Parts: sequence; C-alpha cells; structure tokens
Amino acid sequence: MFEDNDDDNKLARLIDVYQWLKNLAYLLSNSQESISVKADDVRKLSEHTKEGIFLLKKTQQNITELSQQITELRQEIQANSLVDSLLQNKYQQQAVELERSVAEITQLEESRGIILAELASLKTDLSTHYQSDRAKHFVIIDRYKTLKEQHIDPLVADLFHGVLEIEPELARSRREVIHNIKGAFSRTVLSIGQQSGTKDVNQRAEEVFEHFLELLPTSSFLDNLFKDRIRNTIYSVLEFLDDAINCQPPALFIFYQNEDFSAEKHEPAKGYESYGTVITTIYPAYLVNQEVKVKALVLTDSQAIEHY
Amino acid sequence: MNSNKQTKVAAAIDFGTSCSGYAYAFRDDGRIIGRYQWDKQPFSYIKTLTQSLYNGDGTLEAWGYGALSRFATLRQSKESQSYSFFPTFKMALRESHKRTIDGPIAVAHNGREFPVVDLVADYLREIANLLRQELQNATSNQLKDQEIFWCLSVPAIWKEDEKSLMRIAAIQAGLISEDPGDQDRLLLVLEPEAAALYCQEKMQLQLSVGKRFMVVDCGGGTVDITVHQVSVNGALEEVVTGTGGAYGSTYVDRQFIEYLGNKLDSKALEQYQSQDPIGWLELMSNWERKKCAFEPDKTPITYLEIPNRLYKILSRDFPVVLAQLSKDQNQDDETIHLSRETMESLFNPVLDGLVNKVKEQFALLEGTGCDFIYLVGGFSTSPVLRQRMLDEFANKAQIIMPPLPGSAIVEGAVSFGLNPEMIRSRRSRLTYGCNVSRPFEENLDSARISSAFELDDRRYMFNRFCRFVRSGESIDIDQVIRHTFVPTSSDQDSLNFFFFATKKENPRYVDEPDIEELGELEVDIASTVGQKDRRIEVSMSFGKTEIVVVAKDLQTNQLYKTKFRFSATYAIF
Repeated sequence: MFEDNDDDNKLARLIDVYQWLKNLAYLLSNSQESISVKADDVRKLSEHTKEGIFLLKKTQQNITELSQQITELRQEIQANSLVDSLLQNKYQQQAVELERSVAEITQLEESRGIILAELASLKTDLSTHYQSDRAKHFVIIDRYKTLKEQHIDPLVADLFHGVLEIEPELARSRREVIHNIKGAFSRTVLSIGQQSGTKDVNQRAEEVFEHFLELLPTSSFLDNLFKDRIRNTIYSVLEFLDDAINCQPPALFIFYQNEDFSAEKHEPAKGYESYGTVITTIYPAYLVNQEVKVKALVLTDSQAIEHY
Repeated sequence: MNSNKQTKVAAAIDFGTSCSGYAYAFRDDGRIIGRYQWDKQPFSYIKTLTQSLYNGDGTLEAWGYGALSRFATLRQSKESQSYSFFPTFKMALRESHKRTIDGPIAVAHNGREFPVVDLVADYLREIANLLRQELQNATSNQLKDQEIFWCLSVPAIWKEDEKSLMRIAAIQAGLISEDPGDQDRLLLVLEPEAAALYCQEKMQLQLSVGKRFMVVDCGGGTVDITVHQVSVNGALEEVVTGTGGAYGSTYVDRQFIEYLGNKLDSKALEQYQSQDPIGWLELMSNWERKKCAFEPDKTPITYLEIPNRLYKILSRDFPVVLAQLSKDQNQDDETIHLSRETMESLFNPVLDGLVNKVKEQFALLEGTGCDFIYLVGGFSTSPVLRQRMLDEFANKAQIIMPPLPGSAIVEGAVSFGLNPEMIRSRRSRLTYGCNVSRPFEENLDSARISSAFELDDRRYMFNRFCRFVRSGESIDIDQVIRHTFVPTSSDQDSLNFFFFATKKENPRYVDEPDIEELGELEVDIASTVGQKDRRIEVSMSFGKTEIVVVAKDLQTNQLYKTKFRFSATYAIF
C-alpha cells in the first residue's frame, strides 16, 4: 500500500492526465472520419427524439390523472384531520407524561446511588476495612507492636539490669522478673490508663508513673534520666491508647487470666507452652468488634523444656 | 455501557508483584473503603499475597495467604507434590522466556506449566468476587454487576501486548464481558499515575497550576519514577518519560535474610521456614515494620523478636547460637539486636541505586527541575530512605510523603475511576507505526535492495516504517492520529496493516532490529476493485492506557476491527 499524500502518487496522477491529453490529440487528428460517424449519430438521435416526444405526451397524461388522485386524497385527509388533531393532542400528552416519568426515573436513579452509598457506609465492617476519612486500625495496630518491641521491652530490660545492681540474686530468675515488670507496666498503663477518664495526658502519665514505680522490686537505682525515659514511654503509650480507643469502632485491650489457652487469642511467652491454663497476661490482646487483631502475650501453667 | 458515569461504584484492584489489594468508592459518596484483614493473614495489612495454589486437576485451590497456608499444610503432610504452587507470577507476564500459543508460561514448584494469563485471571476472579460479595452485602444485594466500574493497576513499563493480556485476563475473570459495549467498564490504570493522583488529592493545598512533581513509587520489587505537571484545568500531564529499576524493599530484605542467616545459622532458618512458613512470613512482616520505622538518629538499636517456634528450634538444635546471642546482647537471647550501623549497611546498596535513578530523572528534565518529590509505596515510609532523599535532593525540590503511602496506588486508582479525565496527556514511551511502501531512494535503500519491488517502471520499498507517534511525544487524552493509505494496485482486494513499536525515534524500516510487531489489521477492499478512490484512513487513539486502532474505508465508510490481534510470542528488548 502507499500513503495517500505521497509525492509519488501525485506524479502518477500527472502521468494519467498526460495520457488523457495525448489521446485527445490523437482523436482530433482523425476528425474527418469522425464527422461522417457523427452524422449517423445525429440521424439516430432524431429518431430517438421522436420517440421521446411520444413518451412525454403520455407522461403528461399520467400527471393529469395523478393530480386528480391527489385532489381526492387531500379531501379525504381534510375529513380525517379532526381525528388526527385529537390523536396528536393525545400523543403530546403522552409525550409530556413520558418526559416527566424519565425525569422521575433519573431522579430516583440518583437517589438510589446516594442510598446505596449511605447503606454501604453503614454496613461496612470496620473491623476488617478502613475508610479514607477515619483513623485506621491497621496503622494503630502497628504502633502497638512497635511500642511493645522498640520501647517497652528495651525499657524493661534496662530496668531489670538496674534491679540487678541492687538485688543481684534475681539474675537466676531473669525471665520471670522481666515478665513481672512487663506485666506490671502494661497493666498499669493500659489498664489504669484506660480508666483515667478525661484527664490530661501529662496528668495521667504522672499518676501511672507513680503507680508503676510502686510495682517494681526496687526503684532506688533510678536516676532522673531513667525516670524521664519511663515517663516518656508512658506518655507515648497513653497517646497511643487515646488514638486506639477513639477509633471507630474503638479498640479494646483484654487481659486474660485463669482460662484455657486458645491459639486464636493467646500467644505464649518464651519458655511457656501453647496449651494449659493462662495464668496471667503480660501484654493484652487488641480487639476490634470482638475480633482479635493482636494476640495477648500470656504465661501458661505449662512451662517448656529448654535444652540449654 | 459506554460511560463510567453510568456506574455507581469505582472499584480498584492493585495487582502487585508480591502483594495485591483492593479499594472502592461510591460515586455519590467519594469516601474510599479498603480491606485490611484477609483470610489466613496473620497480621493486618491492606494487601494480601499475590500467590496461588492449584490442585492436581489444575483447579485453583487457594489464593493469597490462604494459598501459602494451605501449601504449608500440604508440605507438612507430604502431599504437596501433586499441587502446583505459584509464589509469584505477575511479572512472568512480561519476563517469562517460555511462550506458547497460550502466551507466556509460568512453571510451578512441581514443574507443572500454566499459562500466565490463566493464573492472572483466576487470581483476579477470586479477589473480584470477594469485592463483589462485599459490595452486595453492603448494599443488601441492590447493586448490579454492571454498575461496578473496574480499575486495574498496571506497571508503567508494561507495553501494549502486556496490557492487552491483562485485559484478556480481566475478561476471563469476569470483571467485564467480551461485549464491545462493556469494554469501557474496565480501565487499566498506570501505577505511577494512580500514585500521582493520590498525591494531588491528598496534598491539594500544595499543588497549583504549572507546578511539577516527581512521583517516586517505592514498591516491594521495583521503584517507578515519573514527573507530572498540573495543567490549567487542574489535570496532570506527564513531563518526561518515566523510568524505574529493581531497587524495591525486597532487596533490603534479601540483605537482612543473609544477615539473619549469619547471626542465627542459615540451617536453623531453613528448618523454621519449612516447618512454619506462615510464621516465617510473620517474622518478615515484623521485619517490614522495623525496616520502615528505622530512623538512624532515633533508633540506636532495632529489636526483632525471635518467633517462639524458631526459638524452640534454636534451643533444641542450635543452643550455641542462643548462648552467643545472650553473651552479645546483655543476656537477651529472645530478640535480635540490630545496631544502627548494621541497619544502615542493609539499606545502603538499595538506596544508592534509587538515588542514582532519581538523578537520572533530573538529568532528563535538563535543568527545568520540579517543585515536589512525592514518595509513595510501602517502602517510602522508611525514614532512612526519606533522610537519604532529603540529603540528596532537598536543594532541588520539596520532598513530601503523603499519609499512608502504601495505599497510594489503590486509592489513586479509585480516584482515577471516579474522575478519569484528571490525566489529560501522557508521553509515549515508544514510537508506534505501521508498514508502508515508499519510493526507492538510491542513496539510502541500496543496502536493502531485496525489499524493493517494481511497479509501472518505478522501484519501491515495501517495508518502510510509517510513524504515527514518536517516542517521548506528548499525547493528549483521546487524541487521535490519522494516516490515509491507498492500495499499491487497482486490482488489490485487501490491505494488510502490520503495527509496530520501538524505542527508536525515527526508524526507516519495519524489520530493523529492536522493532516489535504488535499485531495486524486486515481491511477488505474487494468491493472497490477497479475504482479510482480507494483511500483507507487508519487512526490510532493513544490517550487511554491502551492503543485503539480503527481503519475506515473512506468510500464505503466501512469500519474495521478496533482491537489489535497481539502476537503472543515476541522478543523482549
């Protein structure tokens, strides 16, 4: 195939024109012969003209007959015009009604869209879904995990080492003491923190701080820097707590005790088996609409056998 | 259904390399709703795994985390060999070297082969059905299937035939029907454009007419970089051709796994991964959280808890490892302490590559620069990545990270579905054109004399490239480019158009190296044989995310097929 606007095509067309002109010149050079041929053509044409005149007359007659028929039909139409007018009015009314119905349907369709959207918004399960205009549990859940692993656990590990300076014999029960401190921290901050009502975060943090210190085996090793670190961690957890319980639907933190271990909601601490009875909770479970999003870290009455 | 306006819901599927998710919004509401809890997924996240498991009959057994969980159970009971597990298959659509008449082929862990299009279709069917079911529940079964407008994300680097395969998969999955009138109910959204829209919507106050912004989409496997400008009507126009590379967060993960193997013993890790693959994923998910939270100035030590099962393996079979950990980490053998220096060493190789890619994109802007850099994608939550970007580019543009950068693509795709006219133009990444015959030029065509033919005492070349659009050219949405052709001879009864794509800006012949055939279109002109005016107009619409080709016989007004018949086997550049 070629492109239509190709220069080469234009050239090809010019060649066509040239050929046509060449043929014309050839015809002119043979004009004598052509004249006698043309005379014959004129004779033939004259005969055709006669036939044409005859046909024309016949056609004129047909036209007269058709005119008469048209006049008759017009009269008939006039007679029916009254009926037509009535029908036309009826159709116009129907058209107006149809337009109104279409407008109503369009309006209903728009309302349907709005109702469907509202219905979906109400029925969306926010324990499994997020909405762009609301706080998102999956983000807050990550904060909970990070707080535990990056802030509370290291803080408790350092507290344990501080305690050891005063009470070195506790080194033998390292894991147990650490569990106790973690449990005390989470119960104090997450449990009491939830119940502190409308108090300012700083005020609540100070209350929780005092409570927590009372639960430590000893606090005499704590210098001001260490105390500030504890206060800051408590403050961060309380801020997190406010965000979690103000979320829609709110998060719930559950501490378990004296119930059968369930892999659905419990996770045993290291050194404990995933069966038996839950003795206590170190970190509470995070629930949304009764669904466990983060399992509780628990101690069970079945201790694991460790090989070293 | 010709218009997305007739639909009630814009539903987007972010079909990712490693993870996929969905979100939707009702047109009459606009709020975006997304899922963050998936079947068998042990943690909350907006995406599930892009993985599938097939049984011995070749029927899909499970998908997402469900596939991994089921596969783990089968492995433990030693029944996995008759099942076919695909831990990743999306990129096989582009990268698979094995191709048959069914298109690219993916190979399962047991060696069984499946067409990638079928894998994609099956996965899309499951995720779409979940979304459909959810919409039906939410609307008390009042929403019609035809009222869902689907948006499917595709990488910007994908070419037309890969996009076409995605559309085929979407039809096979039942998102839309084969009916030509239903085709507009599915929109393939380019990932960086979705991310750009998300940024524009979230940061409206900072974007005004004429402002340029670079989107750096840091995903799991790859990083995609594009630059857009806000046009007079608030829409977005691509400024230079986008780029990308394999600098995703999975490369940091690989470094981490290597480090973990050295620290805990790689045999212990293998044992754990095989005994508890879901637990392994939980560990990696925890690592993901740590990785994205690591701030060199504020995180002197990153603590990663050793999962219970791995701890048991270590205490039983590798007690020396735990003893060493306890010694090195102040008696703590239950977590792994990663120092700031260790963390930085895991990030640096990937960040170096990423920074170089962004520099390349700035070089393409030739000094005109851009106003903002938006960091999106899950990896862009990383403070260390942000800090590096600030160190390198804060003097060139304001660096912004929108809230929840991990959901930028899926939410941006929903916004695109609600308002697809937002993106007004894009730059073609390739040169597109078709075959045409042109006069032989002695000085240029002599070396290819075998492609010449004689007609009416003149010599022509039959394999010349007729360009419709040049690589890098800006194309408006809905812009149509037309060329008119005539048959070589008056007795020709059909015209066969072959369409091609190439990175070259101005190719001369269609059979040069690095030119890929996209498909062909046969136009029947038998009814006009012998007549003079036999012009055929061919139009290409580039504005949408796919190319639409229409051929029109200007004498009979007959229109010919608008879809490319893409070749399933082709060479990859």
